[in-house]
Amino acid sequence: MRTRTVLRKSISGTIFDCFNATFMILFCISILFPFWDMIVLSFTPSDKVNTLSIKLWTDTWVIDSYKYILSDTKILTAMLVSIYRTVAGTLIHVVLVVFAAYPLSKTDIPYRKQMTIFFLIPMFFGGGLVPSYIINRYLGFVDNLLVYIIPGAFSVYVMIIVRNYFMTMDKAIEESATIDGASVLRILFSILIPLAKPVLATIALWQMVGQWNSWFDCLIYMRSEKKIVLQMILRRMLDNTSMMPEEIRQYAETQPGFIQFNSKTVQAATTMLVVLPIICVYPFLQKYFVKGIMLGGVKG
Amino acid sequence: MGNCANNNINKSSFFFHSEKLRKVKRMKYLYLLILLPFLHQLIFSYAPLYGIIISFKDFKFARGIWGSEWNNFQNYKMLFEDSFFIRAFFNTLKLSISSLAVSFPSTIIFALLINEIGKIKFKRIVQTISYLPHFMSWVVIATFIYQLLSPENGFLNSVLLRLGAISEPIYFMGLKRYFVPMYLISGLWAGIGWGSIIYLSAIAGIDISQYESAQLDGANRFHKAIYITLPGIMPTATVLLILNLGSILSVGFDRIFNLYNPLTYEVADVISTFVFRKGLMEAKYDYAAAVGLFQNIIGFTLVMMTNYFARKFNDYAIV
Amino acid sequence: MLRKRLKMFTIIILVIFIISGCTQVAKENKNTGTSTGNEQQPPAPTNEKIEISWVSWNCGDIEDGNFVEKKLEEKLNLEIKVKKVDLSKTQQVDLMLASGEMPDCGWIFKDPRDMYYSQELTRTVPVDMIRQYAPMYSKLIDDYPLLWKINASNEDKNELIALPGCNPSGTDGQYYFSSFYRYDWLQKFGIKPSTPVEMTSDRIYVTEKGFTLDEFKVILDKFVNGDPDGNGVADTYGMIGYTGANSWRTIQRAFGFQDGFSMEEEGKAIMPYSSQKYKDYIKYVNSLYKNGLVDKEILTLPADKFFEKGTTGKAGYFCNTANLLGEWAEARPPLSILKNVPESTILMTPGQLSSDGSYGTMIYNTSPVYNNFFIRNDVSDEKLKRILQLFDYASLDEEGSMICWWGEEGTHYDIDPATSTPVKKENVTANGKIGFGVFAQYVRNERIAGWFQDSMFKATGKYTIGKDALWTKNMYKPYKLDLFNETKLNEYNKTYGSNIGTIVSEFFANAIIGEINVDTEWDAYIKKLNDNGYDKIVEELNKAPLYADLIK
Repeated sequence: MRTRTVLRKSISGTIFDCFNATFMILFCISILFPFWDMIVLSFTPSDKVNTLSIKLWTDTWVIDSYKYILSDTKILTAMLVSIYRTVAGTLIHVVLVVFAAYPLSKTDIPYRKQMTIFFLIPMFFGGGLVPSYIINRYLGFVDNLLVYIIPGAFSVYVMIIVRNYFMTMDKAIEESATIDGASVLRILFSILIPLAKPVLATIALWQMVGQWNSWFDCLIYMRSEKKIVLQMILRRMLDNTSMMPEEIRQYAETQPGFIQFNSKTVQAATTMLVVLPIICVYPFLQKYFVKGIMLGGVKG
Repeated sequence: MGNCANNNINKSSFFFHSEKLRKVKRMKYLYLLILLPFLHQLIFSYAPLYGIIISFKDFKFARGIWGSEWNNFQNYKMLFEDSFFIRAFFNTLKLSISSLAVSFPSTIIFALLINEIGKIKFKRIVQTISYLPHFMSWVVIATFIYQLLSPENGFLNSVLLRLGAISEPIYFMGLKRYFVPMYLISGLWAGIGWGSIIYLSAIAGIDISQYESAQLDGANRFHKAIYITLPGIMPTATVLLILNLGSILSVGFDRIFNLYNPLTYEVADVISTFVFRKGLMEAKYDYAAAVGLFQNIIGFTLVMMTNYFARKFNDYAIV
Repeated sequence: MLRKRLKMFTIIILVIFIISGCTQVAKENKNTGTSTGNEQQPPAPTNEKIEISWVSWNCGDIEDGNFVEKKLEEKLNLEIKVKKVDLSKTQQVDLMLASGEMPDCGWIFKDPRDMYYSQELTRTVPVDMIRQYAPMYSKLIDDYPLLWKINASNEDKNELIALPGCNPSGTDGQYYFSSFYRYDWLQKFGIKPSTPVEMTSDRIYVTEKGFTLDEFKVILDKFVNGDPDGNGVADTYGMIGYTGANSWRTIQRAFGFQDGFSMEEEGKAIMPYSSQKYKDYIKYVNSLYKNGLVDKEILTLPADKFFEKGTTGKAGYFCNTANLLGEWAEARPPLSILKNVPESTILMTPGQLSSDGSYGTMIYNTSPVYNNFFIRNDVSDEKLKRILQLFDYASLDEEGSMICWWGEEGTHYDIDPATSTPVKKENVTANGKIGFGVFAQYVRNERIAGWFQDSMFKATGKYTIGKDALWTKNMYKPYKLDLFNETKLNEYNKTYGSNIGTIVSEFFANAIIGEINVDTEWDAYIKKLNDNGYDKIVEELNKAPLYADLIK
């Protein structure tokens, strides 16, 4: 907890505070508006739905949509899959990133420049969907839960940020530990990582959000209904037909088994279900941010 | 010591060589650590690179990537001769650059503003609410934008009419001149909260004693913000700026797709949506690969350039 | 020294790159399958159990061992593997084809010429084989001889590059774009159509001819300004619709063209969007829009919002397909209007009446072809025979088609004694466990097509069903059509289609809301079209045969 020794007696300061607070409140309201509208929609009975304008209240509140969702085992399974991918994916990601960032943060490690370039190049160039699909298929990842966490287990962008952070950390602690005879690995695990909690918390947050929101790999690789993620179900509901060419759509809608009419309330409830868990994650991570992270630059 | 060659250069390079070897030996566990990400990159990032070849071929599904014929840069020719692609390219640049130019300072300022909030509870609440939009998909956000700007009973039109600023409702979503402002403002609204997280963390890492000594020197809040806080997050900002320039030609598909329509194609159609519409006629992976490579090269060049300048002027860079 | 290291490093990277790339060659060759392998197999007796992999619509959530699959395996002594790909997701489909994962056979939404000549993914099927192993299908196709010719291979007229689906309801009224009016509002203003009005179902009325353009304008005006719902507030819409061409088809008809179909102007074949009639049409729509007779958001409204708007009961007119009179569309207008607004009644007319008395909107399918069934290029003749048997049985056989569409009598459906048509049982929902609509798809004779015509729609049969129905006789047909791919038209459409489409939709949209002046911008617009390949398209169009000649 930082202590503020600032005296706030100045008038201009108070005026500024008022304006700042007002601005923040207005901004927050503008965000809460659509959000609240969605919450209300999820509790509206389906025959009273009208999404043509923003509604702030409904006369009758029902939990039918939520009941419907939670009784659908498909959605519950998808939630479990999403949780799995978020947790496992984040863990693997953070580990791999640290494994690359730490060595590269040592300015005196031989071949540093070559290794950095090696990691940087794929950040800019990609071969596209087809070869990635063929490779992943060869590795057995089609319709396999591993495809959610392994292909995406490393990110150069994130690695650079962590690397820079390591580089700006106080060298003195490290030096004294080396003199005391600690091995390189020991230093990493016992000293640096605990000190680097803020940056690790940040990248963990990014990765968790990214994993939770991913659906494209699900679209491409998954075949069994049991392995799809929550976000995919939401996608199916939301952009049901808009991406289809018109001729296919006209025909598709009259087919048996086609999800013709997705209740707007169910869509809203599912959106809530997808959004709420991840929002709850942030407050838990906030305590790590207080100690601070300093993403320094690199000299040379 | 071993064999020394006669001339000095060889002598010193040999010395250097064994010193290096010793270092490698000492740091061997570090190399072991980095092996894992190295392998991952090899398999998942380098191996698929052969797909770049698709852009130079006439890709036939049955023949696969290696069996398809080279088509003599036909895909690239088609690309650069297509006036609609060129239009999409310039739109992408315009939207991307203006987006960066607007959101960059705004996010920093927003972070500074949040930092100035005194009451911790209020601060936490504002922060949490501010990044809610990040979790809404653009399909949902676009729905609200349409509602907000609707020419019948939309909030904005009602307010403007009531204030007497306009006599007839404006069809915002259908007019080219409003697209860029709408795009930028909605982008700010949705991204400013999430984007400020990293700056707030960086701010929290600034040494408190700097503030205390500034206080003693008579600095007020404004001075502190400008002369301590701001420089304190500059390194972060620079690194992020450089990294984000790499994706300057990748204006997100989702966002544009849900916000554009034929009335605004002229300013809103970007590379990703252009390729999408072309793909509706027939899936041309080779064409899409050519577009992809083009985007990648430009992004790469931009980053390298900015990195070079950043290093010259700032000492902060990524390589 | 440093440079040398850099060089070595780069060489190592390149080597790794090339090696990893080369290892793909081996895998890909395995995957795409060379066509040389299978001729060595000795001919197998036809009741040996063989494996067939299949894909079609409704395979997105299909489960292994679903009911229909099991039944078919049992009846035909096969081992069937359905590929889990959702055909509505084009990315999945394209990836499946591009990465060599196409199953043995299946219904795929792709152009057969593309699949066979361009992508080389499929094989031809000899007509004799079809006649021998899929007799019921052959008989159906004989009713529409065009279908034998459409997919004929360029090399040998007796081989088809894909089996055409046949859906007679595609050529009659189901997908007929009609005008829907609030009949109670019309009655309130004393407006009557020129032909007698008939009530076909409860609160649903149909009449033979629609209104003229002038009458239509007056109607819309009354809908907007005349307070038709009598609540004292000007909150009603004239015409509503959604993005895309389909909301405008009925109006287009009155001007003598239909979007997407070639037409004649001064003896030449052109596409409508460059014709004088189109110019008049745009001006007319602009005048409607200007006066607030059309929903301001019509150009940007997505389909689901359109349905909601219609359901509120505040709109007086819209254009959509006739099969909206069906149980599947209960949540959409017009049926949702009937539900929400008790005093409402609906009038359905064909397209607006043009000055020469013609009024039919477009034929949904220019030929009875509906979709294509492909066989992968390395499938052996033996397997092909079994595939044809499966195809025939599932699609048209009395027993087979019942299994594939309805399931098992008693478990999934009952026969309604009055009409002797199957009726689905209460708690049966089509899903991946059962597998309806996967094996029987787009091949339907009249018996099967009848299942998909809702009773409400059937009641309008005099106008909509069958070759001699009043509206069907009047359907709009294209002037010239390259049905057999004898010109470069399809190729040019693929290359230039997207850009031309962009130009057309931009011009249309901007002209409607008045952002550009049609008269002054017309020439520039035509020039832009020509610069982007339109003149090439027109040239090919004129080489194509007349539709009238084709359909004989």
